Amino acid sequence: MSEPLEEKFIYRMIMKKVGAAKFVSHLDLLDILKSAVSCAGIPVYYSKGFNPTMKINYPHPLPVGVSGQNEIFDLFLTKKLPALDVLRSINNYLMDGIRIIEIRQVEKKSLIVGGQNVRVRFIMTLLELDDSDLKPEDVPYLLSEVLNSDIVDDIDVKYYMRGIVRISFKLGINSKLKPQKILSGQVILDGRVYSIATVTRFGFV
Amino acid sequence: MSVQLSTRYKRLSYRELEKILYSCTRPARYIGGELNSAHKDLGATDFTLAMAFPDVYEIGMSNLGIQMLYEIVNDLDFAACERVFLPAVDMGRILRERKISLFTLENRAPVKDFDILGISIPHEMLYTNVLELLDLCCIPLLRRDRARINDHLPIVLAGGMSTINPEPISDFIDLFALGDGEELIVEIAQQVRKLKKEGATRKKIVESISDIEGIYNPDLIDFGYKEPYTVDHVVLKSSKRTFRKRIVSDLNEYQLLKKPIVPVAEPVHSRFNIEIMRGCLRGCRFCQAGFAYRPLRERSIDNILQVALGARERYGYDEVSLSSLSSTDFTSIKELIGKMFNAFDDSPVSISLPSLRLDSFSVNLAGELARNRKTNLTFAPEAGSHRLRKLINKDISDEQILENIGAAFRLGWTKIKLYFMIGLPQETDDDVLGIVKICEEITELAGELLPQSLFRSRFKLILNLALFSPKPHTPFQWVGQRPPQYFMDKKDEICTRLSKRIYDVRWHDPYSTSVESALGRGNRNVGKAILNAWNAGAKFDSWSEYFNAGRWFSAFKEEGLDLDRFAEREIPIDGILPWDHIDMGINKDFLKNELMKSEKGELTQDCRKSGCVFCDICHSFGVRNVLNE
Repeated sequence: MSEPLEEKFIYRMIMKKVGAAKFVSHLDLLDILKSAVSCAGIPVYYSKGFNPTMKINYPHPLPVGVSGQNEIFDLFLTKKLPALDVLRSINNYLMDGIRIIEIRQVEKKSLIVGGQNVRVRFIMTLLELDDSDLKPEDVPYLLSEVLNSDIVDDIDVKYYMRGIVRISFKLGINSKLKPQKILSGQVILDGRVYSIATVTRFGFV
Repeated sequence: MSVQLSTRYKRLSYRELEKILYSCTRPARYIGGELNSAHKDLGATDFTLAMAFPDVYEIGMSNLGIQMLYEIVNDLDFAACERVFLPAVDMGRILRERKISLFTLENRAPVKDFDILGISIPHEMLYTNVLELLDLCCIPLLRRDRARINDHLPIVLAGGMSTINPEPISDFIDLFALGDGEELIVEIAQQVRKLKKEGATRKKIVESISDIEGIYNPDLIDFGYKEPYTVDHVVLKSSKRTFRKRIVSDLNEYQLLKKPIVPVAEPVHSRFNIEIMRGCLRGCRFCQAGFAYRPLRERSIDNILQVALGARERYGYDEVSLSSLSSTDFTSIKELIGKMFNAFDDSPVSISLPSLRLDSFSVNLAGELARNRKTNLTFAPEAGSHRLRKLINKDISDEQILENIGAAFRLGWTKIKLYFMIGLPQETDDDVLGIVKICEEITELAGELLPQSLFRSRFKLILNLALFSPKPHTPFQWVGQRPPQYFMDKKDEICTRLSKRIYDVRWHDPYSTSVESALGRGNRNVGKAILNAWNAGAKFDSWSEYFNAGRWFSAFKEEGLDLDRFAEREIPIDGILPWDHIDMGINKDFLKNELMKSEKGELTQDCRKSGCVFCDICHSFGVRNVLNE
C-alpha cells in the first residue's frame, strides 16, 4: 500500500544577499539555507527518492559577485507555522549578509515563474578612475553597448558628486548579457573610464 | 613580541578585499563570516594563534583537527584563534601583485602579526605549500632568518602526520608539535601569555615552549652524515635524548565540536565528521597512522550522541560520518548506530562509516546503514594474494573476500570499489596477477548473484591502485620504494587484462609517489631541495594539474642529491634513522621484529584479542587502550 501523500505548505521568502555574502555561489547558498533550516528545526518537506532532499524552489540563481536586495525562493514545509516564526528562526542560523526580510504563505498554483520573459532590475554603481588607476593592460568595456542593446530597457543614469554614477536598467533573466562579467574590469561611459563598484539585482518585474 | 598595538592586526578593508575578489575564482573561499566562526578582538587578547592549513579552503575545512584546535583555543577567554588557508594560484598571484600580506578569515588581520602561526601538515606533498603560505604571509622562509629578525614575527609551529619525521622541513619550522594537540595547545597558549606579560623576546619564548613535552625544537639537534643519504651521528644540544609525542589519555575529556563552523564553500567531504575513536590496533605494517596514533581510545557512546545532536542543532547536517581509522572495530558500534538512529528519529540524517573491513559483520552493518540507498561499497584488500596480505598483517583469504562481496551483492549492491596497493615488499608477478584474478572472480560472482539485467546495466568494479610508499615509524620504514617504471609496468599488466567496460582502474602518478617517499623518509638535507622546488614554482603538488616531476628531480640535482636514491634506498636495520629522536611511543625493536615477521609471513594479532604484543606504547607513556566495554 502506498503512503498517503504528505501535505505541503509553501512559504515564499524574500531574501537579502549583500556584503561579502554576495560572493557565495548559488549551490553553496542553497547549502547554507538548508543548513539554517535544519538548525532551526523547521518541519521541512523532503523529496521521497533514494536521496531525500530538502525541497526549496529557487529558480533564479544570483550570479557570484552580484548583490541581491529582494531574492525570492519558496520553501516547502510539512506543517503550517506562523510565517514570522519561520523567518526569525531561520535568520538565527544565517551567516552575515544573508537575511530573510519577508515571508508569506502562498498557494501551490502561484509558484515562482521561470522562463525567458522574467525581467529584473539591476543597479550598477560606477566609480570614475583617475589616470593613476588606469591599467594599460585592461581593455575597458564600452558600457554604451550594453545600454543601447535591444534587451535592456527602462534605463536611468544618475551622476553624483565625486565621479559616482548610478545606472538602473531592466534585463531579461536569461539574457546573454551578464552584468557580472564586467565586474572585475573597467568600463567607458561618455568618454570617461570607470570601475564598477557594485552590481545589485533588485527583484523581479 | 613587542609590536605596536596601533599597527598590529591592521585589518584588510572590505573595500580592498572586494576589489580583489572580483578577479579570482571561487571568491567565497576568502570571505569568512561563517556561522559559528569566532570573532574576537585580537588587540584585547593575550594570545593569538593563526591556524593554517596549507591547501585551499574546501580541503582545509574538511580537516577535523583544525576545527577542534580552533574551538579549544577560542574557548580560552584570553586567547583568539583565526583560520587561514592557502589561497589558490590565481589569488596568490593577485596578493603578490597588490602587495597584500595573507590575512586570516575572521578579522582579515595579517598572519604575520599573530603570536603563533600553527600549520597542520597531514602529508608530505604539502611541503611546498607551506613555503608558499609563509611567503604569502611575508614571513621569512628560513627558521634562522626569522630568529635573526626576531621580535616582530610569529613563531611557526607545525603539527600533523607528516611531521613525525620533521627533518625535511626543519629549516622552515621553528617548533614541531608531536602527537595529540588538545592539551598541548592550551599549555602553549598559557606559556606564551605568561612570557608576553613578562616582556620576553621571541627567542626566549621559543626556548621556553621547547621545554613543554610534545614540542620538538630542531635547533636542539645537529646531524653528521656519512654521505647525504645516511646519518652518521647525532649531536644533541638538550638534556632530552628523544622528543616524545603527547597523548590525550581519554578523548571523553574533550567535548568535540560544540559549535562547528558551517562552511561557505562546499568542502571536499561535505558531511559532519565525528571522531568516534583515535588509534587502531590492527597493525597493518604499511600504515603510518596505525602506529602513530596508538593507543586506541574510544569515545563513549553518550559523548558521541551529545556531539551528534548538538551539531545537528548548530550545523544542520544531513549526513554524519563516524570517522576513525577502522570504525567497525569500535567496540559497541551496533549499539552506537542503533542509538543514533533512535536519536535522529524520523529526520532524514544518514549515517556513514568511512572504512569497512572485509568481514560479514561490516557488510551487514553497511547494509543496515545504507537501507535503500546503495551506491557503492568500498573495501581494501590491499594485496592480490593471501601470502602478501599476511606479509602486511592483513589476514584475509581470497575465499573470505569473495564470500563477503557475494553477501554485498545479495544485499543489493552493484558497484564495488576495491583498494589495492602495488609495490609492497616481496611482491611478485603472481601477487600482481592475483589482483586481476580476484577482480575476475568477483565479476563471475556478480554474474551469478545479480539479476542479468542489473549485471549488464549496473555492475561496475572500481579498482583503486595505490602505490606503496614506505613511511617513518612503521615496520617498513627501512624498506626502499620501487622505481616509477616498476609501477607503470605492473599497472599495464593489470590494465591489459581487465576490460574497460566493467573495470574502472584508477591510480596515482608514480613520480608523485617517488617524491612523497623521498620527502617522507628524507633527512635535513632534503630541505634545500624543497626550497629549490618551491623557487622553481612548485606548489599544490598534491594536485595532479600542478605536479611537475621534472621540477623536483632538478631541485634535488641542484643540491647534488638524487631523488630516486632518497626514495628507493634501503636503510640498514641497525643504522640511525633521521627520525630516531622522535618518540612516537612504539618501541623500535617491536618495529624491527614486525619487519622480520613480515618476511616470514607471520601475523601479529590485535592486542585486544591476543593480549599485549609489546609495542610499548602503554608502558612507556603510562596509558592504556580505552574501550567501551
